[in-house]
Amino acid sequence: MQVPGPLKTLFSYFPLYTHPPLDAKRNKTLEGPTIWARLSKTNNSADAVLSSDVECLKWQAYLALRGLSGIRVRFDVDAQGAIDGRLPNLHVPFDASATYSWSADNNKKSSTGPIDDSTELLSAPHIVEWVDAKLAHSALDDAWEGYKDEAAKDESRAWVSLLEGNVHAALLLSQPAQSFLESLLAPPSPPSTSLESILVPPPPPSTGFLSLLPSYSFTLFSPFGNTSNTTGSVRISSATKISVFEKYPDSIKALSERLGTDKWFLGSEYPTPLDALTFAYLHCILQSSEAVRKEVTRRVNLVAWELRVRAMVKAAFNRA
Amino acid sequence: MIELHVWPAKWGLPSMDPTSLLLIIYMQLVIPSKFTLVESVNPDLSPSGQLPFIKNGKDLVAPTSSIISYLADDANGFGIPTLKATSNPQDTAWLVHAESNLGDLVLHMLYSLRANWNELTHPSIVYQFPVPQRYYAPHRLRESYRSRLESAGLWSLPGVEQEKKAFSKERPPKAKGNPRDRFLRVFERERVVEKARTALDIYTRLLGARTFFNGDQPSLLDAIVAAHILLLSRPPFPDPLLQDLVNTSYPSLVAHANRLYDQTLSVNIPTRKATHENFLGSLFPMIDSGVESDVWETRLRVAFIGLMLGGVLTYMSAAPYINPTS
Repeated sequence: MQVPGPLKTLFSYFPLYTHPPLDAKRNKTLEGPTIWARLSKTNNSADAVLSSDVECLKWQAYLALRGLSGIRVRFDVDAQGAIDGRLPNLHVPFDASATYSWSADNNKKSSTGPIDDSTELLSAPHIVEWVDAKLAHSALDDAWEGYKDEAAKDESRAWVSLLEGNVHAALLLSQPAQSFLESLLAPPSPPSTSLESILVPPPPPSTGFLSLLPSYSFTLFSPFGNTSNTTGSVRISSATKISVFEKYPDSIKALSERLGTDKWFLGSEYPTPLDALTFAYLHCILQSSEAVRKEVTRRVNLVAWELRVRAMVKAAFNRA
Repeated sequence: MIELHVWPAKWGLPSMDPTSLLLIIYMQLVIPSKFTLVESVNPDLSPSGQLPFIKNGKDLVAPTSSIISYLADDANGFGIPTLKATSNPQDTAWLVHAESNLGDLVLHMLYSLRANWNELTHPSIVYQFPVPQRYYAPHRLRESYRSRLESAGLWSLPGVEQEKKAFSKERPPKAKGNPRDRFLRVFERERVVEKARTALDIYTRLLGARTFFNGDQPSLLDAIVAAHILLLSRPPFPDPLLQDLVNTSYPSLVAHANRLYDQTLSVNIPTRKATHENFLGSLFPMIDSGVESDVWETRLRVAFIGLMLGGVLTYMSAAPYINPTS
């Protein structure tokens, strides 16, 4: 059926232009493995390589302490562009010879057209596998995963819970709360561990368990994306805050006593993931507010250890 | 007399909540029989908004760590040092690890598995609430644990009875999708069992062949582990995913828990039920008497209430002058 005459003249005022497809391969080629991380808040100079976010920094430390070097860092990617909306991600050249667990599915699909499959983007959990493949050595090959003995390996799990529990809660609470106006206008914050998942027992809903009013958690659909109120829908009471800040000095004291004068935590000979995690937390604490920082600055061995590891981690990265 | 407000008693144990139970065991160890238990379902009375909390005259103390330091404080009339048998720094780490990992397992069994929630936990607690709260408070309680279990990967697991349903209905055309789903569900349950196994293995190794974790006297770590093991092994779960694991593969931990039970919980602790005072007040949210986090929030709140009342009064006063349709 033909387009009727008058409509044809109408459409002729709105011509359709077709442009040739873009060639993705002509973009900047990847020069080496690059980690996408969140920008450091305090140090904005051109040679800042360490992120100030605990998650990103812990993976940066992990990569450096496993012995890799020459990794580039990019801070210009927003969290929304990462896999699952969470940074860090590692952008690596595609290695067809290595067999990763996630690439089994990918091999079935053949690349069609302008999709560039010469590089891969890995989310955080896959970084371990990539490093193992690159170094041809996995932590599980070592006796007790690189710790001194079985008791040390068990103890490392306990220290991980301490860091991710007490210390992380104190860090979260010490960050200055965004004012109401800022929280409405700011871009949406990425999902990260919130206080509700750390505190034991979990904080109650903001209007209480027994009240008739349901707990409110509003999401505003603004042009900038969705924002929701900052504490979510739970109420962190002042009694809870006091108890978190009471437990925090004990945790730091225990950490410092356990480190003593050892080179690596728990007396391991080589750095372990626990060291990466500890370094990430210590570094972030030293950059945050006075309330949490003074506990760590009081412990000389922690400060010295952090300084030494910081130099090692910094050496492994350069700005992209 | 010091009062400890906890979630209600069930299944032969003085409380159905792991944090409350561990505090009962701990207080029996430090101040045996010198406190009363109050079974309550009103966490809003607590300063932290959660049970357990203690009331000593006019002092209200919560959460658990504040209670322990309150009991250790001389100025409050108790001079009991906290039961930390050794001064090893790793004890602090073990306390946190026990409470979070074993707590996740107990909460998974009680609140996440649907069979257990529908047939055990919910009926146990729902009748304790007064009438309007009965219909929404248990659900809110379950939702409050969701975030923690989700981040531990222990939320929303299909239960035993759903698998049985899939087996009983023979529908060949639909069966194409079902075997893969069934496989995934079984795989997820195995994953939870593996997680539990790693955590419980650590504690078996830590306990070794000794009576208690740190020497001959029970300590806070013993109280924590025993409370969680009791809640994993004793209640009659319809879906005994982890209960079977604990009872069959970890006899040393079960023996340790029973030992602590005999030492602390087998004696009768004076208990009373919380009175339903302040019933109407509990229908409205409590205002935190602590520092308001943002002065603008207070201002906006006052402005809103003021405008609302002003509007109502204006309307009421102007009503006689508004002409009805004529």
